[in-house]
Amino acid sequence: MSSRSLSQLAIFGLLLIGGVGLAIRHSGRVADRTALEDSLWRLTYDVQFKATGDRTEVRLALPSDSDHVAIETENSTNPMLSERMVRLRPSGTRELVVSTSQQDNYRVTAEFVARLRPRGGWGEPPLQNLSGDTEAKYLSEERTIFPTRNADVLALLRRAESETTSDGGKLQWIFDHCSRDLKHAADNSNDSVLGALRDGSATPLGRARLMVTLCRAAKFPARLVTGFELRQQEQLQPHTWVEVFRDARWLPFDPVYGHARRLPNEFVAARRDGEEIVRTPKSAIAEEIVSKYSIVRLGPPDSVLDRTENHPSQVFDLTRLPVEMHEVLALLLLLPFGALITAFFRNIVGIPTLGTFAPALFAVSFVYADGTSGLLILAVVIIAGLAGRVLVGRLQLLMVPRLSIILTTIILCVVFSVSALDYLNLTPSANAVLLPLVIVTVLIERFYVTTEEDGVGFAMQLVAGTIGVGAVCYMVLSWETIGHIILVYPETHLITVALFIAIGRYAGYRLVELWRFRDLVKTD
Amino acid sequence: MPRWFAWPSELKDSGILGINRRNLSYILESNPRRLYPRVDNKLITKSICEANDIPVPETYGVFDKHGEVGRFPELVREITDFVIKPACGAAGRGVMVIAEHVGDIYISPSGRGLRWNEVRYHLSTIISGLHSLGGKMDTVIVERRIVTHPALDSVSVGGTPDVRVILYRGIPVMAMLRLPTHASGGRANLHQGAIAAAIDLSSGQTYGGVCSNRIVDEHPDTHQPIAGIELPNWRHLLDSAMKLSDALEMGYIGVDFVIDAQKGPVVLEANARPGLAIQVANRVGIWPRLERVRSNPDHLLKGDARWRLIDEVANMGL
Repeated sequence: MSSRSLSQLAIFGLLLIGGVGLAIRHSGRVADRTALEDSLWRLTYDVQFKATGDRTEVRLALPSDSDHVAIETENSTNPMLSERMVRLRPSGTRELVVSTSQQDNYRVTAEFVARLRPRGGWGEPPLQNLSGDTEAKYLSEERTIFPTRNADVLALLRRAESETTSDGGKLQWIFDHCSRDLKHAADNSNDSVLGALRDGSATPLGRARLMVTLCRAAKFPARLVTGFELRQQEQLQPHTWVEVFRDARWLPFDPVYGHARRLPNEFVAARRDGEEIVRTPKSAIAEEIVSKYSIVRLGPPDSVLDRTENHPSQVFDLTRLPVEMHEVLALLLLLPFGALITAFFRNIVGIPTLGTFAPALFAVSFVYADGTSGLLILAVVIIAGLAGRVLVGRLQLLMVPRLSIILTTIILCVVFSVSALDYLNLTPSANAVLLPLVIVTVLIERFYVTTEEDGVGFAMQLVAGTIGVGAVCYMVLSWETIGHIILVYPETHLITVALFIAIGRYAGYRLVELWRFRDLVKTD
Repeated sequence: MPRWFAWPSELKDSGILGINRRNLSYILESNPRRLYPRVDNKLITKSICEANDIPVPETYGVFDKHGEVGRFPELVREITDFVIKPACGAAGRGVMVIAEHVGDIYISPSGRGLRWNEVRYHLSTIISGLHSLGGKMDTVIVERRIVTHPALDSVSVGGTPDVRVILYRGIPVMAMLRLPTHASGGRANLHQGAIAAAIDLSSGQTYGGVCSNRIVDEHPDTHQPIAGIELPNWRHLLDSAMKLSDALEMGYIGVDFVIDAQKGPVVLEANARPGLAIQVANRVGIWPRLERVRSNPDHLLKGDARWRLIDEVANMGL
């Protein structure tokens, strides 16, 4: 197999393995996080009733899914009773219909496990517009509950219309009025709309009813929604809020807690278009209904909680290492990116540098030290090193001792500049001494020899290239997010290697050659 | 209107070889790494040349230990002028030319006097590897100083002109004459300001002329024309280059000659990574010529068929 197709195969293989590795790790992390952050709630209905007639029926509204809540299991085992599930139109409410033909006291229990996802959710998708019948239903007057044609209601609506003209403004006025302007009424007082209007105070249910009444009177389709707020409670009261149909969506409004257009995630709707969870039809009426609700928070599965236990696969998880090691590891892992940048500049752009990896190493040491003291000390080092080289040059020494003298000079300079900076209260970072001093020594020697042999111009060209490439490396490597990401996803470097192979097989022109050979283009 | 760059497709259409393709398609493919010492070490190159009757400057002496350096004055006592160079130096680094010496004083062609301890220091730096690739321990070669052939006198300033021939699979594909100038400090390196002229492979006559990418017609120091110089013993030079290429067993090499007044063309060194500036000097791309040679079966790359192929590639792209 030719080296070219072998390289292509290697690139393909590395990209594939790297991509799959990234995908597996990422999905594993997301799954772990959601498993830890999602919460599971067990909601229990406990309904007692007395059957006195030939046929008795109770209907339980079941909690429904939303973009944040998923009902994972539903259980109701009531051996004495016949059960069936119906879905009501047009509200979409699911009901468990429990019926019996024998007279007795009965007890119905139903259990649900709901998963609450704090992160998920793109909002509900838009619906089609309501059909004529449906719209009429949600605009209709229900004399005892929603007296839309009552004079007081209409007077209130006229007040709203006098203060605002747009539909949106009117809806907001209604919401504000129901949630803010009414006083809080005692729990046992009147729930009715007219009572609320008369007293200027309302129960929670009264507020919701008033809002639906006003909306319907203003020709906004509206309905009551009854559901639960997921939080640990032994005795739980269902909560009723309002939904108004606007812009092809049912927008929730909670005049009791003040939420508008979007409810907090933990609200679960059960019955839409109604204010009771349990109801009984007039035709098969059950008596003495007592309903109790409770919610228990469940823990995440053991497999997730045990994740921190020892397992050989943890070797591949670098984030598990002590936090103090993270910075060093991240820098090490960043070094290949520095090399990638250098390879790119050398082989594709065509900028020569002093030493192959010098720019990347400089960049890394600058990331590790802090920029200012690093630059200051590097400047001192270079000046001292070059001065030392010129002086040592006169002694005419052999190479290794000569380099060692320069290295010693540089180290003394670093140590005393750190001390001097400290004396001046500039407190340099101790990491500044981590500058690649041996590399600096060799570079100074190379620079010196290059100036002698190839001229100052060429040497300066190399220095400029080194500084330029090093600056680009520094900009990339000092980006903390990249360091964090590479620590979490070290398999990214399989892709880096693939890029190295691609650069290594790049046979096209270097960018500087487009300039260098520009005059050789034949013009016909 | 002067242009600032050329599009890659334009360069490709003009047959210009880029450095990446040179490395991948020619050097990596044709030059086995294990043969590099043959060209990187001039002592080995020289012995290969001598074994194949290829003329090289006569070697006076070799030093590879610091302790031996003391013998140097004795070695050159009877020799007026000579060249000191590292066996593994690149691009003319570490070369010292001595035109004459009187007692302890060694005098360079430009008239600068050096004391013995300065020369000894230079010998030591060579041995300790300052000029060698990778800084390895090196060897000093003391050899005959080339006296430039009179044909090139008019364009030789401060140094020795040299001829670079690039061969692919044993066939010379492009050649140039490099002329030192005052600006280049007597060295024949193009990026230091030396002048290059193209050489017609068939006739050995120079044409064109270029200095730092600019077209020049005359030598900036002597104001003599650069074009139209007839290189002496041209066929002999090409023959030596082909023999050396065969002996080195490397597919893509550059061979550097100097033309001695007495011995004619002698090999200075061979290079396994010859640069691409020769295209600028010739004002033509080398790529089509290389591909022309590549397309030939092996038996056409021997004997007289070579000369026909040289004549053919000599005019490609012109």
